[in-house]
Amino acid sequence: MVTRRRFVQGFTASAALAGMPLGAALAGGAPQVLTGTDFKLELAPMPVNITGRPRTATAINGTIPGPILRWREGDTVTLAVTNRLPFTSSIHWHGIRLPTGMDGVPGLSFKGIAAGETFTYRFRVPQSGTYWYHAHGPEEQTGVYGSIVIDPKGGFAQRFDRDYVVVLSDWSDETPTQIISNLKFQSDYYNYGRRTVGTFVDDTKREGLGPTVSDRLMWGNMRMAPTDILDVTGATYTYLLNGAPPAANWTALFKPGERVRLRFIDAGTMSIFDIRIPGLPMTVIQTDGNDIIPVTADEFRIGPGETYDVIVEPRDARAYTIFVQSQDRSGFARGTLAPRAGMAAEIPPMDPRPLRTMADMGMQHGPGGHGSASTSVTGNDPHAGHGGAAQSAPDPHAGHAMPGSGPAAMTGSIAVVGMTPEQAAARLSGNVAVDNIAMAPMNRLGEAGGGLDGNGRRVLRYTDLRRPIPANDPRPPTKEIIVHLTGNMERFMWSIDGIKFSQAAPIVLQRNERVRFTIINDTMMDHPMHLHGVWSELENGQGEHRPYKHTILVKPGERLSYLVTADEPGRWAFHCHLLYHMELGMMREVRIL
Amino acid sequence: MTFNLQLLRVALRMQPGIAAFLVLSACVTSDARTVTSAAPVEAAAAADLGGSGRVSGTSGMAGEGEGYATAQPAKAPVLALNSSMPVATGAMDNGQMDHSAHGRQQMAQATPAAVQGRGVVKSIDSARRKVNISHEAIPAIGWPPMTMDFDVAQSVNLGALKPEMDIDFTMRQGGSGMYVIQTITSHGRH
Repeated sequence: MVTRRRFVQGFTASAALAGMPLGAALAGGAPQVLTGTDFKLELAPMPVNITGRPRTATAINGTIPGPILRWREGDTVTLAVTNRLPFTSSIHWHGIRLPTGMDGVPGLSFKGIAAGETFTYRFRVPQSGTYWYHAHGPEEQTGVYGSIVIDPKGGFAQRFDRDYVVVLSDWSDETPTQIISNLKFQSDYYNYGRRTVGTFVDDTKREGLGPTVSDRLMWGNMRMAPTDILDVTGATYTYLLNGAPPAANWTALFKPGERVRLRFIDAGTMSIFDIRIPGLPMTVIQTDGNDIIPVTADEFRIGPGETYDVIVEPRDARAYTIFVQSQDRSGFARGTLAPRAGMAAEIPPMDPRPLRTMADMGMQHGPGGHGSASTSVTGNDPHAGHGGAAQSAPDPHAGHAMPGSGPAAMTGSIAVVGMTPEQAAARLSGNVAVDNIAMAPMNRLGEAGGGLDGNGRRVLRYTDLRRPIPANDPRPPTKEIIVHLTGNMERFMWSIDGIKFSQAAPIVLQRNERVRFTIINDTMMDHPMHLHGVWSELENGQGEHRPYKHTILVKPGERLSYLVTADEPGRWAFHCHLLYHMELGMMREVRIL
Repeated sequence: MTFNLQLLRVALRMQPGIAAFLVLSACVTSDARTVTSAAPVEAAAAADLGGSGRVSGTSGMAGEGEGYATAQPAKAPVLALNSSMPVATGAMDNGQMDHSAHGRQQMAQATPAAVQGRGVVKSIDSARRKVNISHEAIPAIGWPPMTMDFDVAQSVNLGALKPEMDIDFTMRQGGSGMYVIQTITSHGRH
């Protein structure tokens, strides 16, 4: 029986006893808040000790996260970024609408900030809300991230008395290079929850021997353990909340009866989190910097790149735990809301580990249901089309009309760019970079997500997001761009349409075109897709009140779409915001002429 | 506990790094599933950015995101906590709201003469010919979802209405600038 390594919760009171400065334990100390219109940021190596082992991190102005930047809507800001790291770096302003040369993506926006150089960004701030900034490379893992709060010119739609930024991130004592190398060596290197004999016996009691055996054989053939949820897990990560590991207990103060605004930002490189505050419902008021009609929830999921603003109204003079579980329940980040410093509330046990299902494979036929892993597979093996090797048996799913096919092919009034389902089945199978094609991708926006559906709590769904004012651009799209998210999990290869970034042509749009991006996730992992420079209006059933997002978490086997007005010319990155997926090629250039 | 204190005394005489490692190794095995230590470290003070009153909101529409600063100012209702449907404040319930400032500069299309809306009847005042309706946003004239009183034209049969009825309605601006409901039809959504 393999012993589980408990994820490291970081220093406790022992840090003070041993005479170590608290600042070192908390990745740099109290955050700075910078206001005004002129900013100086410096990227530099910094010694840290988050887990008990000293390491060298990369920090902005000596703190992790970097300073909170406070801007005002309408101001022109100037940010001089000096790079004292020994390699080229940059800062990308995530979600901010600005000229393409200010976007901070080396190779697309500019050549990057060389070691020792200073680059001065300067742009007008045309929006308000919660955003963040970060490096666009591996140094994001070692600490180059921070938050942006932009005050609105017209005032706030919701009243609140206190306002705290909550940056969630993942820290590893291993370097990014070591992490990628481990994943390439063995793609499930950081997953230790493989199913065992115990669960086999439980399943046979419940489902019978036949279905259980064929279920195991099917998963075994596909070489992906049904427990793989995240590639990099608490096995190496300590999860941080505003730079503090769970034991450091970051605390925000309130007076009972006050309305407290919490600005959650997922700055994790590979970590999707589920957030709740036991005993305190949250009213979600904003996502990705844009207000939504308030929705009350007990829990919500956040993917790397996304932001969610909530208001809570704690009535009792006691501590509340901000409980941030990783999606695969391999660890958690934690903070406290309390009337005084030095308090802590109970930390609940972590939820059970979610399992991948038929729906995640894109195999769940029929309306809406959630597949269970015990769905028996009999007769003709429909999985002959899977796997990187060439197959000889005809795939019975080829040529099916896809349920929920987009309107594009039907109406003929909209140009379609990208592969039709038949082309996808033909071109992607046999491609070593693609290990799965979702045969029946579905609309899953109404699901909370694996590990959240059916947990007895009110969980936020993408279908709950409704913009208070209608979309700025009332035109329907004239072009549809179909994008397949693809990968070979066993070889840890990630791509779009089976082609990695370095070998792909850009997606070209005309200035002011109105287009629909249709994303089909052929993989069994969630991918937070981020399009720079322009808004993604997620088509979630809210009609003209669809939400404005910049980062959209796409579930396994899902098919979703969003509308884009290509109103800012330039070369824009479009990529999965899981850092090591992006690094391995899950990216495209969207070029707006 | 005694063992740990002894270990600590030894550790404190050693290098701080080794001391920290020895002490940490005694702590790192805490079960992730139980309540952590009762005396947590006081983390650095959290930065409170202040209340919503810090912005006076002099131009544009209240709200955050893309395009709010350039929109026409309108009295955005204060939305009640824990409700997904916005509830108007007391000041608006008797129809005192000034609608003349509504509408958005950005809207390219002309405002239609009869405006359509959809909502739920909350209460009916037959004597004064007023209906209180909780309606969805009306993008044609830039109205957010609201609950408010409406004057109702003489041609509308108020006897057919009941509270909690789902309705579609049309309205026109009267001489005073206030919208007057012209037709109400139930759409039986449930």
